[in-house]
Amino acid sequence: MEALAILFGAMFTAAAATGLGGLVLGKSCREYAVRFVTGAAVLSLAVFLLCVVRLAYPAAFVAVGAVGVAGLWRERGVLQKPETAPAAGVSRIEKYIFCLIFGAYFLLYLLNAMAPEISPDGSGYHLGMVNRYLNRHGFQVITWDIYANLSQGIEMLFLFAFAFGKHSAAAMVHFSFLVALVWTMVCYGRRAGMVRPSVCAALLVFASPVVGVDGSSAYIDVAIAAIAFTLFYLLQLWDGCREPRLLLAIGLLAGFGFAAKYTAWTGVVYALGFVWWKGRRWRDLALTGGSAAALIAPWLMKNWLWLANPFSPFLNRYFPNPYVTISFEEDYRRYFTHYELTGLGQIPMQVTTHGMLGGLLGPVFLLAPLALLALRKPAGRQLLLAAAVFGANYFGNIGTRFLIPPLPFVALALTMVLASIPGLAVAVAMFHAAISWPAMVPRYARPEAWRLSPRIPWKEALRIRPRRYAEFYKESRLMGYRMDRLIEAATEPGATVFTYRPFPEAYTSRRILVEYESAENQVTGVILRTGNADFADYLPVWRLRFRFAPARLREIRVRQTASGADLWSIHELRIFDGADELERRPAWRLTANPDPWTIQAAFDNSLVTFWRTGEAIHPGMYVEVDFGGTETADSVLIETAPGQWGIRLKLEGRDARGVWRPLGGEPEIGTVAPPLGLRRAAAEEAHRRGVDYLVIFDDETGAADYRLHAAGWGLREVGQADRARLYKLP
Amino acid sequence: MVAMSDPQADEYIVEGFRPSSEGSWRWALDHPVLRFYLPDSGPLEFVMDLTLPEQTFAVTGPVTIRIAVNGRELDRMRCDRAGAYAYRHPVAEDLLRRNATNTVAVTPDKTAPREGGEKLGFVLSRAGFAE
Repeated sequence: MEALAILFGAMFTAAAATGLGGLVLGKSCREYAVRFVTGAAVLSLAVFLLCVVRLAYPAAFVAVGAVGVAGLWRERGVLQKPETAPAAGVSRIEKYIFCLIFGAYFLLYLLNAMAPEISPDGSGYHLGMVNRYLNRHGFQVITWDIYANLSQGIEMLFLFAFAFGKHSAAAMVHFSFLVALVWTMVCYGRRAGMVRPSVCAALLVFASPVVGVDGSSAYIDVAIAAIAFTLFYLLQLWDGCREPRLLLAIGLLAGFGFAAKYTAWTGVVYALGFVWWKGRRWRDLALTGGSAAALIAPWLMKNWLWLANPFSPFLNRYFPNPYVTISFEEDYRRYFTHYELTGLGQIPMQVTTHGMLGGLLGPVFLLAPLALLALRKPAGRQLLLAAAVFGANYFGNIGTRFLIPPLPFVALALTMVLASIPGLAVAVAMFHAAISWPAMVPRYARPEAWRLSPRIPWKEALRIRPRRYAEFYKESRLMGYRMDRLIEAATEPGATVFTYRPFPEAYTSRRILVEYESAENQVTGVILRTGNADFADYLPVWRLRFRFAPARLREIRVRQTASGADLWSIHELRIFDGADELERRPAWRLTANPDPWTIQAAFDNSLVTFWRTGEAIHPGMYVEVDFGGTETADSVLIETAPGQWGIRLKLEGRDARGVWRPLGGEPEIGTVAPPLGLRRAAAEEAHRRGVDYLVIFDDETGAADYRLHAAGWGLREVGQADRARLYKLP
Repeated sequence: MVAMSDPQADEYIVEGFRPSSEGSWRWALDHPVLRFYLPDSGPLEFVMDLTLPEQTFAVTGPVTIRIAVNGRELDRMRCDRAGAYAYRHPVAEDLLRRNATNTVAVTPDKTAPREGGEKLGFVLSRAGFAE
């Protein structure tokens, strides 16, 4: 039954999308694959709207899907039969061999897609969000997870399928995009009079190891490639016939690319530029741009309203907000431009053969530079332009899967060139298919490379004796799945679990807070480290005291004047008149630059909470206290943690006449013994911030402190799984 | 935890010490008592770094220091030689008052009398509670 549900969920989604695509395209384009991808844009938008009004129920999906299926049914006699056999234009022997190879890979990917979802991002945030949206029947304001801030156009389709067939149905939807992609590549070749090269290119893409594992998982990169290529295809089609209806589809697809992934914004520019360059008509541009905006605007508005940043989690320097820090964004970007490589010259071998950047394209793609020879032909120039458009953002994230969107264009240009030598394109394609089979890949790729297992999971896919095989499959292949099961069994519904490392959120109904995934989670992570003796730099034992002649003041300001990589933090700021600390009054007004939202934490009498800049120190940062009157003071004490050795602080005061002047000189810096009760205070503060449970992996720094001093923390160990422990907070 | 070098050390002293520290240490007299505010936390140990100087050991010989928390005996520490000692002892929860001030008396059984009636016990560097 589960297998049937999976198939129904996927096929219903595909049928609905295809039908909706037919409503958009009408007679202007009759290829099923193109209609599917175009209709997917409309279906995605429909699901988005249902999520906004909190009507994301299976019944609502059935109603929307019925519209599409009805359209598909209505045109069943009108649609042309599928295009002439994909291998038309090739020899009979080649046709049989191609069919065999495509068929083998099709079955391989189908079974992997139907098998329980075990991909890192698929079982993590892609379907974790989908699971959450379905449980809540729509969107909720999520400020604790940067991945909820990304555009999720494909996740909307996953949600549609997930409602019927759960995780594997969503993966099957992505697989549908892979099938549509290669089908459209062959259709393009037929129209362009280059059948053999297009079939060979389709095989190069289809058999590519990273395309296979990505396309049979609940990822989105293959979908982006399908959208990109379908957009290209329709632009070429429109250029030939100038049918206005195609512009509507082109705009929808361009917008859908952005709605699926921010990096596809180049497709919008490409589409608008192409339409203008070829037609120079404002009406055409307006139609294209308007339909693109219909897909783009909702995601931007959602983020703007909920997160104060339409492009969250990026561009936080231009849209300051308390949800994502500038320092995190910069670190995040910096990591993905290099991963662990020591030089960018390592990229070609890693992305084609070794696979250490998250998968491999296949060694034959070392021939990709030959594709430049296709510039000699108009079609080649179009293909390579498209490759440049959809590969323009690659160096922002050098993971192999970020090369999937431009891959079809590169493959087509390459096979165009190879086809100039009889038999060469076919030989290369078949060689690629042979060495890309999962059992062959381990012979040249690194063991850690992301790829399909040599073992075909047919029993798991068909859910034969589901409890025995499917559960064992997930437990043995998906790190963190056992912890999911433990969390579901040992915590109460609605519980919140904090972890420093992500684990598959798609298989738990609890709220999972991953430390790096938001500013508030990062603060919780630091609060916990404040109480952990293994993190000396986080213990609030630093004391910086400014002393000055007694003065009547209206305001004091602590100004940071240095530049560097440190983040500046203050756990407590105290103001004294002699031995007496000034009482903190409601009339006091506290401000800070940057990050004014958390300044109260420096005045709450808790050493485990703190104000902290969300970006590296630079001149212009300050913390300011307006007394709302005048106070007499002669010293200011800052209680904080070390680990910010680069800061340079100056104290200023505004006197009764309103004049700002320096107060005293450099602060006296000393340390004190760690205050008692930090562990308990940190745990209680984390609980106050909404955390009910902690997951700590045994090999994490600080794990021993939680384990050995559980009583001091007030923690109770609830269970262990996947070399991690689940603790309940006090 | 208080170090005798801390400018705020006097806030931890109830009685029985010289009025000021000699840099990083201070003379404890015949009835030294300290006070500590103890918040909620895990199990605690009482920690003390002290020295029995040669000049007083020559008068007193081996000394036993009785440690009492909130008036109830915690332990008796035997010092058989002159020199430095690092003392550490778990404190049962029933001896403590959480979220309140707790007193700790560290009373030597013998002292070395000085002119003016002062009775020198030992030299304290730091004392307090640790998790």
